[in-house]
Parts: sequence; structure tokens; C-alpha cells
Amino acid sequence: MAGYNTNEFRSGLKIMLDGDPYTIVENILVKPGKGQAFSRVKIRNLKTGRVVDKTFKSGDSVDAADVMEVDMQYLYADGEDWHFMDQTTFEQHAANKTAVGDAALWLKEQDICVVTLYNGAPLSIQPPNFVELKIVETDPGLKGDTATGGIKPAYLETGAMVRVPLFVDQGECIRVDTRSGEYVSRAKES
Amino acid sequence: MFESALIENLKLRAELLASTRSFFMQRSVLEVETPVLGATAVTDPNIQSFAVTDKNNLTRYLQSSPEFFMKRLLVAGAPDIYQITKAFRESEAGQRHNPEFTLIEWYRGQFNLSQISQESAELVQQLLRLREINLPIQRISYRCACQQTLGCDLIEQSLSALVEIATEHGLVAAEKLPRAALYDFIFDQAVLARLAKDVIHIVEYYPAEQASLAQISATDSQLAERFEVFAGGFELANGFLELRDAVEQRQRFQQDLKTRAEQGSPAVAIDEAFLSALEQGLPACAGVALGLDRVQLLAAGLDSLDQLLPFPWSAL
Repeated sequence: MAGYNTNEFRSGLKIMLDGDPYTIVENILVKPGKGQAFSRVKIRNLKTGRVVDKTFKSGDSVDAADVMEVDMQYLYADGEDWHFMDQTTFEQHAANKTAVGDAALWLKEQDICVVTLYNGAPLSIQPPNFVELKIVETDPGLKGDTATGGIKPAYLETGAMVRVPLFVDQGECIRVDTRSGEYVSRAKES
Repeated sequence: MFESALIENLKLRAELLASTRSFFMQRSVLEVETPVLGATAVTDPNIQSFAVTDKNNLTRYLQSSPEFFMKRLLVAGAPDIYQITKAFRESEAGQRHNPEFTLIEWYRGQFNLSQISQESAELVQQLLRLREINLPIQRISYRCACQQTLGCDLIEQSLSALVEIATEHGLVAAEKLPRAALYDFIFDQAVLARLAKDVIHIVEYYPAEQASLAQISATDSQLAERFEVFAGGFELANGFLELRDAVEQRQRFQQDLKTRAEQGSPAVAIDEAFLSALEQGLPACAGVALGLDRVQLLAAGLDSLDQLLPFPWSAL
């Protein structure tokens, strides 16, 4: 397996540590004037998302993680897996529940997602930052109430629950920020 | 960099240099210059020097510190001396490291460790006052600093206990490192990180494994007559009660060469001119090197040398 020397460390580099794939978030040189040099890194576990601080002796090598981030179109879910298609090779990949996780709440057919492949299999899914989804259930809208700032729960076609302003109706499409899970605006019918 | 920030940095630098010169003039310490290109490189396993080769294949080394030349001046009869010089260390580039940097280095005859460390901290104090930063000076032994922050005396720990402490603090493959490197990591990660940032700390009496060019303490063979100065969470100065024994110095150089070979660092020649000077007799003295760029970071309230240096390494 290919490896990286600590002097190649930079943010975004994918490495293996204790059997798990990690991405380097930050890399800092630590070196006392007369002492040993170290690379102090913040690394994110690509399976769990947890960020940890680790230090490597400068000059040490670590294994590279076979991890790629690929833009893929979300095709459909079959009840067990979620299916994606690589936009350049048209190759299809099935992601299981562990890989998809909470991203399932924002997956709309034909949207382009970032699929992280680890040893060729989907490890995690990053939905687009903004998605447009239809409200399938919410309390009736209050006519003319566009200014009071009240909110109510709305259930979307994907099963996600988003807090929306009172004037938004069932059957309407809304734009949602998937990073915060918050309502952004009404959207035109797609 | 905004133009005003650039000019501000240049002015502060000029003030720091002037204030340093007045500090030493008041104390009758003589300013000297020594070669930046030397015939040999230091043997220190943790310092790699740039080599410069001319068209006749003559190799010279950019000096990583003016120490050996300055000690030769002391042997030749120079009084107390100081120097403000560029020093060079290969591969040391980062937030607070630039491969080319500025050292203030000085030697005081008959000073002991507490006198030279006090003077170092006082110079830092004077320089920071140029920007109305008033930091108190606190002195602590290496042992006590570890005891207070880690709850144990590092020097008394077995190698396996040091490996365990280092691993707990996130060091990967700690079991492959020698004591000195484990001390470096644990001190930086667990001790220095917990020392108050708004204090000039003198940490003195380092483990004997980290003696470098310092004498071993006459009263405790586990300790070296070495100190460092820290402020703002980082290292500013490193000093010694200087080793004067040519035989012991040669042994340390040879040990360095062995370590360099083991770790695959480039081989270097021992500085025989320096060793002959020691054989002639270095007067009793204490010396210290202070990083001027780091002091300026503190004075300017900046985080990174990229914000400070007009031409940082990453953007030459």
C-alpha cells in the first residue's frame, strides 16, 4: 500500500490509522529548538466523523487510505440500499444504511451528491448543501400571515422534519440547508 | 498583508533591534559578528544545515547558530559578547518556524544559570514593553513544571511509563522513540500547553539526556545546567552553563554522529577547530540564544510568522 511521509502532510490528505481511514484537517510543525520535530495533526475519522488530535514524529510514514470523493447522481432507494451513479464512468454504487446515515433525510432522486469511496465502496454520502423538497404534511397555512415569524413543523417527502414559517402550505416545495437542516425559502415547483 | 501592517512590522523590528543594542550597551557587552557560512555543520541530530557548494566543489554550511564561532572568540580572549545574526535550519517551516531566522545570542563570563536566565527574561521583558506589554517573570524547575501540570516527575519515570504518557497525549508509535524525544513531546503537549501564557517562564535544569552543550549539574547527575524561556505558549530562548570539557564535548559529538547515522540524517564532520579551542580552555561562561522573530510575534500580538515577516519562506 502506498504511504505518505509526514513532510507530505497537508489538509485533505487521506491516511490510515489503527485500521480506520482518516482525513487530515490541520497539520502543525512542532519543534523545540534543540529537540525532536513532530507533526501535530487534527484528523477526522471518515467512518465516525470524530475529530482527534494526534502527533507523529517528523519523518515517519503512514499508510495512505484508499479513499476518493466522487460526484454521483442519486438514483433510487430499494428499501435496503441507496443507489448512486458516477457521473463520468456511469458506474453504479450501492450505499448501505451505515454509509448513508442522516443524509437519507435529504436525498432526492437525480440530485448530485459527494460519495466518499473507501476501497471502492461507499463510506459516506454528502448531500448537496441546498435541496428543494415537497412538504407532504403540515398544519394549514394562515392566510396573510407573512410577518409574525411564527413557525410550525413540516414533514417532507423524504421523511425529514423542518420548521417552517406559518404561511407555508402542504404541497409546496421549500429550499432547505442540509448542513443545518433549516428552512431557507419557498421554492418553485420542480 | 496590508501595507500599513507591513510598515508597522518593519518599524517594530527596528525598535526591537535598537532596544536590544541599548540593553547590551548598558551592560557593557560587546557586539560581534561571526561567519554565516562555516566549514562544518553542527552534529546535533535534530538540526539539519543547508550546504552551499561553489563551482570548485568547495562546500560551506549556513550556520544553524553562531555558538561555536562565538566560543572561539571567548577562548581568544574576547570579553562578554553578543551577536544579532541570521541562522538557518533546513526543513523547519511552519507557523512559528522559518528556515532562515534571527537569533540574539550572547555569552557572559562567570555568570551562573540563574543569572543568565534572569538576564534573558529581562531582555524579553524590555522588548515586550516597546508595545506596552508587561509580563511578570516566573522561575520554575523542569521537574516542578512537570509535577504541577502532569502530577508526576518525568525524570523519574521509566521508559515504558514515558511511552504510556506520550501515547495518552496522542503520540503515534511512541514506543519507537528514545527518552529525549519523549521528553520533547510530553513537555510541549502536556506541560507547556498548561503554563500561563501571560507570564515569562524560566524553566531550568533539564533532564541530562537533553544537556546538548550544557554542563551536567554538579549536584545531581540526572540534570543539565540548561534553561529555556517561554511566553505566549511557545519557546523563546535556550541557554546553558557552557560545557568546557573538550573530552566530554568530543564524546557528545561522536554520540550525535551515531544517532545521525541511525536515523538516516546526512553525515557531518566534527568541528575540530572548535574542539581545539576548547582544549586551549574556554573561560567559565554561560550563554543563551533568543529568537527575535518569536519575540516580535508576541510584541505584535500575531499568531504566525507569515503575518510578520515581509518575505516569509512560504511566499519567497
